[in-house]
Amino acid sequence: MVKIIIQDLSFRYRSVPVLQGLSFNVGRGKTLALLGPNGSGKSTLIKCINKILRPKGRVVMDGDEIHSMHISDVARRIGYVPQSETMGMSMTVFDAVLMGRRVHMGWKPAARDLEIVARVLNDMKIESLAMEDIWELSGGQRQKVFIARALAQEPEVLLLDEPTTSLDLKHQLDTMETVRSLVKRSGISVVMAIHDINLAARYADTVAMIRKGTIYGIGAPIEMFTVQSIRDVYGVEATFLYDTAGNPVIVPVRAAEEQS
Amino acid sequence: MSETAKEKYLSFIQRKVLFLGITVVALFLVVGIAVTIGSYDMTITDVYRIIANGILNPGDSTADLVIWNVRLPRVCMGILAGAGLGICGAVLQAILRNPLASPFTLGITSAATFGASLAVILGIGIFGGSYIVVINAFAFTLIASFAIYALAFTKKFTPGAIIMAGIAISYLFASLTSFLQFIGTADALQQVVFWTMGSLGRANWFAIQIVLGILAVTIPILLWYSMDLNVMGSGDEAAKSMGVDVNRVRIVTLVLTSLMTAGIICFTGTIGFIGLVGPHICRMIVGPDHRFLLPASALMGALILVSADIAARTLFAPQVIPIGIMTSFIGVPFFIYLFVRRRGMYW
Repeated sequence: MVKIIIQDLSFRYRSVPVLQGLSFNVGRGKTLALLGPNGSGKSTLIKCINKILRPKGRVVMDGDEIHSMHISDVARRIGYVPQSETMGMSMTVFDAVLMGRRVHMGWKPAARDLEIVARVLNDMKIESLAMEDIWELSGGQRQKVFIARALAQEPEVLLLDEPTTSLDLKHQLDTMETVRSLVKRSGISVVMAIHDINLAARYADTVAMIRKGTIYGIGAPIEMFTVQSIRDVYGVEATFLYDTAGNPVIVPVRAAEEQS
Repeated sequence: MSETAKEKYLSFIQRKVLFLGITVVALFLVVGIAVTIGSYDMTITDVYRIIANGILNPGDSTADLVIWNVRLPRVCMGILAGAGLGICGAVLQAILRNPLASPFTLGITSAATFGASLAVILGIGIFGGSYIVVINAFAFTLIASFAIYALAFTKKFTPGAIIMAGIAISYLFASLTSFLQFIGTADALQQVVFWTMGSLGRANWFAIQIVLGILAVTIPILLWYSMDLNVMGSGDEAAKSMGVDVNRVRIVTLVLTSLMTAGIICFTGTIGFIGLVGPHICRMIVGPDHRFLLPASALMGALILVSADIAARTLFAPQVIPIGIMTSFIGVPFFIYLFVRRRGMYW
């Protein structure tokens, strides 16, 4: 079942083309990882999906054209966790997650809004931090808060922009396990831009490899990750190992020689 | 388990409401003291009784006349100006995501000073008559605001663009004012300097009606945007993803705060500090939720300004010190106390 259809999507920053004619689908209840080197357009693509940026082309979700929807209608259906959060003011975790209810609530949160925030905090295992200052948390805990805030929107699709960047190994795995269990439990679709190809191999159903703003290839990790694709997309020579579950583990060896 | 977080949050909300209640009571007392103090002796209970009776049935005793015609207009203007400037500061700090933002950051107060200087030094006004200074200050504040919007529009109303445009406009009008002061007479110069220090002494019921009218329209709209202001603290992209039309909120709130600032300072002159530090004091106590921060900043602004006016009138009586000087003397020690005492960061 297809959740989102992306059709001929292009985007320019001023005159510089960043994304060029991208077309692919996101499956319902599936996790799609966007992979590619810095500047390949992963984060831009994420922002084009939920109307933060206005690209050319179409993004269709369950038959509805996203770019003709009002921004608050988009927010009711798509949650987003940005790469870096510039939350300047200190606030409690509960207040931060409650912001996710903004599209559903009026001036005063209803009992249901508070229930949902409490439930999401519980789901993310951060209920004990509810009244802590968000800026006194560790990076991993804070990332969970931002994911919780997006989940409080009750989205059908969750967009994650580099969810594991700046997290230590434990918190990287913790975050990805949380995302996986969310997908299993609630059936939402996840699109994540991610740098770590091994995490993508382990946690994504589908990977889209992006090179210079175009789709190099899209498919299951085991099919997509080859010596040739890693060389073409990342410019890196790599060897492959396989974990006990049969997932590929990519070991980068050296930078590939420039092809003329 | 999930009840616990919700219960803690509700108890947190109750503490914020309690703070608002305490501030209302404190303001009520300070207003009573402010109206009581003066050369005509009366007690604070006389003051409350005369005000309560006078609302429905104004008396004609000396005490009635002193309170209703002399002291109350001054105090009411203090409440309105303090409340308005406090809210403006809180809103501007939120939409510009800058702790140093205040009605002064946008440079529009420099424009007000220029307008007033133009009227005082050269006698040039958009309209003549006894309100020439007031109308000039108001008009030039709005002119400066629109210049800032026009400049910021070219950069898609980003916080940085608005601040830079504000600084540019501020320096432009400051230099124009300096030029007027350079060519003005000593007497006119003294009047301009006095205007820039702020005063509640020019308050009258007409001015209060105008300011009250502006605040009555603008404050409910700003309060309505409280949740959007909360969300905008997370950055523009995150705010858009939560359904906030960031540009619209920023433009509407900028226009409203400009109108409020213009409406207030054209009658009072420039009163600094309150719009900057009033919201910070409240943020340290009630947190950054604008549903509580805006009312708290309004109450705190009013409390500081009326308290400062009491000090201004009594410290060197019968000499009255300009209110702009006293606001900092009253507010800064309280701000420093909270700043040092508070655990962790608050912005």
